[in-house]
Amino acid sequence: MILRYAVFVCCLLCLPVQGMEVRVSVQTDDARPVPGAVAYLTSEQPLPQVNEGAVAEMDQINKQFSPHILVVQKGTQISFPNSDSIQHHVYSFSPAKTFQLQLYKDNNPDPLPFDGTGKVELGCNVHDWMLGYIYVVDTPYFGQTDKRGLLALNVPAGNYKLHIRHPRIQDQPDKLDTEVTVSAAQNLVVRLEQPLLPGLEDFEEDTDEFIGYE
Amino acid sequence: MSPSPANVETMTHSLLSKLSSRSLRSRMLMVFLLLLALIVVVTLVTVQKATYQHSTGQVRDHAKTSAIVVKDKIRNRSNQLASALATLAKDFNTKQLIAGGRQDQESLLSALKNHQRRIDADLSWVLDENHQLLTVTTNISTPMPEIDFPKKTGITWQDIAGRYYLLEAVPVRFVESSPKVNAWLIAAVDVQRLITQELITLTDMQVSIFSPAPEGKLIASTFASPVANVLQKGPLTWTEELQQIWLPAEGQSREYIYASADIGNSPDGPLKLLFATIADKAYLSYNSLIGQLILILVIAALLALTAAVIISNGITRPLTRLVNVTNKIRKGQYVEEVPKSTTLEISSLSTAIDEMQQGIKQRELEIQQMAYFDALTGLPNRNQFNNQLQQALTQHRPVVVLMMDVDRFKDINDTLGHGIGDQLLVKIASRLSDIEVDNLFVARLGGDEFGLIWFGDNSSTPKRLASQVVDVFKTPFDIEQLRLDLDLSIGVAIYPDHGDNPSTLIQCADIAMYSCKGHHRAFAIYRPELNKYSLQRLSLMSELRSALAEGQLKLYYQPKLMLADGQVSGAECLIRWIHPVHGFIPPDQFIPLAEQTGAIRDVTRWALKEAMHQQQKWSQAGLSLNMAVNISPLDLVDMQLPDIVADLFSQYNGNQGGLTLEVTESAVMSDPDMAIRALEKLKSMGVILSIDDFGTGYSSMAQLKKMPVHELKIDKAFVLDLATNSEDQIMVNTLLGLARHLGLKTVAEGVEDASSLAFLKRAGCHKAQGFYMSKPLPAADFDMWLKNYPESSS
Repeated sequence: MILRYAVFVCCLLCLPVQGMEVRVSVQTDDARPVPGAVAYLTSEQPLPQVNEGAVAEMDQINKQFSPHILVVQKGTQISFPNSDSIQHHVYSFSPAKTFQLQLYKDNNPDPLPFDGTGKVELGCNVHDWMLGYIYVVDTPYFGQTDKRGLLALNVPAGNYKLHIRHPRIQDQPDKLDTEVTVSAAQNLVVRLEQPLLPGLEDFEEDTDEFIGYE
Repeated sequence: MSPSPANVETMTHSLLSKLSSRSLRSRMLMVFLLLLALIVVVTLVTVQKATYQHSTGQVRDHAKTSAIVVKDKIRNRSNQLASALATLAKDFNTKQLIAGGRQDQESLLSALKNHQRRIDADLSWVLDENHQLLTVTTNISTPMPEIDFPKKTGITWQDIAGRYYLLEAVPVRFVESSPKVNAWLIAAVDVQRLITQELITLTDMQVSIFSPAPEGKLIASTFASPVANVLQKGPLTWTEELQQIWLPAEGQSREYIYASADIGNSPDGPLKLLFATIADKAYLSYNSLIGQLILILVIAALLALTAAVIISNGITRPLTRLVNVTNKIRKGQYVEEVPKSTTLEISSLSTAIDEMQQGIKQRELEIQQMAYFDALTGLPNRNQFNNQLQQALTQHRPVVVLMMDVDRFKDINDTLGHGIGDQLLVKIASRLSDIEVDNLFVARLGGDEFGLIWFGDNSSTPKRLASQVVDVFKTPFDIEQLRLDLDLSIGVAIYPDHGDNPSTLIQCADIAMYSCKGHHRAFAIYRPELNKYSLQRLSLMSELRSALAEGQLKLYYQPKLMLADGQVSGAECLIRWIHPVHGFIPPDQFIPLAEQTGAIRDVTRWALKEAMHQQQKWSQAGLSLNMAVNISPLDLVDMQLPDIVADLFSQYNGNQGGLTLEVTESAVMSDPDMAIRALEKLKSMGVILSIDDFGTGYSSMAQLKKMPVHELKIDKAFVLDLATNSEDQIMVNTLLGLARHLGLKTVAEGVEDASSLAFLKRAGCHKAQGFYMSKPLPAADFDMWLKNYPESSS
């Protein structure tokens, strides 16, 4: 599903400009693939802004956030529908976006604008296990690695900085940033120095399952 | 009964042994007491040790349990803090306040204070995700300590501004399942508030807590502060084992025991818990147990002692009774019944003592019998004779004492054997007992000697009594087909005429009795003249040997005539004792004495030597005379005589003129084999052997046939009256015929007149001697007589 959105967004943004393919491989410290890692390229140059009225969705299904990790360009509005038959109380105290949607069920609240960049950690006040992430990035070139830890991004030639993010990555975020000059298609391998945090497999497996079914 | 020296000695000995040795009873009690004391001591020591160890163990366990209780209580407090903090951390509003803490610190602090009051903490603060202080409920300026939260487990202490706190911290996650910690909530409780009086009721001990070693400062205590101050000064040993310390309590110093345990962790190490209790209280059950034990042991000891006394009395009381009984028996007081006992051992001892008493009684009777009666004849013995006499002298007057013996009884014993002799004595006793005289007491004094006591009354006189006794023996005795005629000698002494005490009377009777001998009188009544001999007899015994040495003994020679040609063929050598005081002493007085003392051998040797010496003298004077010497039966029983004779022969030029030895029949009969051997030897040396006094003894003809003799000497009893007595003539004829048939020469002695001599010559007797020819003469007179002989005989 993540992939679907990523591809959708990618196609949406990249079609007018013919770009070069940057293939990113994210590997753990012991060279295993890191699936679902968020990768995006930022640049000093002005990059295309998000379209007015762009909306992303962070659903709540089976008392879980869906998707587990959502990546959006700055300025995207995100709606938080509730697909469950019970009430949820979604909130975030993350500096990128602090909000709370008091207990709600059927009447979907209005989408919320996400204008700050950074990681937004989502929780549900009545279901402690619920955990979701929204990465708000200031670039249209972003995506998540597949099962093999691979991601391909089409970007116009230019100077970029590659960012790799994931809740389980313990490495300092800055240290994973890589300056990239895109002039032709190229492969980038990002190798983590520290092991991944344990846990959270629940979310990933769920994700994969859904991918498999759709 | 007056105490004899032996008795005194026994008494002293028993007294001494009483002093030196303890009684059985006290010895038993002593052993019992020792055993009891040993048991008591061992029990006490063992129980004391065991219970002390047990009590100590209990106290130690108590301290350990107390430590667990106190730790548990503090951990509970810590957990309670943690859970309260955890609840707070999950509260949405709290998260909201913390999230906005940087912007709105006041609201966060206010909420924190409120919560701190709720959970009864003393201090609390909030750290952000980078461990930076967000807010704190105190205004102390000290920076909050660094806490290594991930490692914190269990009870945690923290020294904050010089005070120790129990610390709890919980992470705050804005999203609960997020791996990221967003903040820390921390609460602390002052240690002093944890050590409360409640702990005393919980643990029954005084609880104190100290800062980590080595500083070991007292932080809080359930002790009152004065005691706590002393405790603070220590010195204290940090160990789980029990320790002692003296602490003030109720105005005096009391011994406390304590143990310590670590609790929790702080950057400096664990804090120290110290549990103390008064030693007496800790060992209370132990002390009361020991007290009870001692009481029980004392009671048991008293009971056991009583039992011991009863048991030992049960043993010693019957023993004491038995000792009393045996003491009585020792004194000769026989008891009817020896005390019995139900105890088996004592009972058998009692039976043994009873049997011993019976045995002693029996033996006493036997001893009495032996002491006062003669075993052979059953007559009273000498002892009783003496007693009886003694008694009689005090009650009666006059008392007649008769001493009686059988003449030549020794010969009967020697020739017929002791068996016959004993039977004869029994018959004599029987006859004496049967004498029908009132108040006559008969006793056998020993050997063939009998004594009679008559308590004189008017029924008889001493003389008549003596005659009565003599009459009893007129009838011959028949023993084993032998008919024996006995001659008696009876001496009579009369109280008070002859003496006033038993020994004098007995002596007088004895003297009178001896005076009968040789006079052929049956009895004699004591006369003072008779006493002369008796005194002589006594001194002669000792004087005989010196008489030999001093030459008081002389040989007298009585010529022997050859009847065939009237020639003097030899002489019989007869011993005479010329005593310097008593004058002439006849041989029949001292020869028996010499035989009794054994001096007879010396006498014989002397006589032989003297005879041969004289023979030599005569030989040198041209006279060849055969010398006849009497020898005693004693000379024949050892084999010395042949050697002596041989010795003398060599000394006096052989057996010139010849030597004749005259032996009585009885001498040969007493030990025929030995005598015959001696005689054989003498015969082989050329000595002529002659049987003396032939016809008066009880010779066995069979023995006579075997004897190596040359001649028979017919006793003078047959010769003295030969001229007138036809019976003697028949006897002499018979004897001469007998000798002739046996091939023996004959000698007749006691020839006192010519007609006897003529009879003998006619009858064919070889030799004769007697007063008719000559009485025995000293050597010089013999010479004289010999010179005149042919004239006087012609």
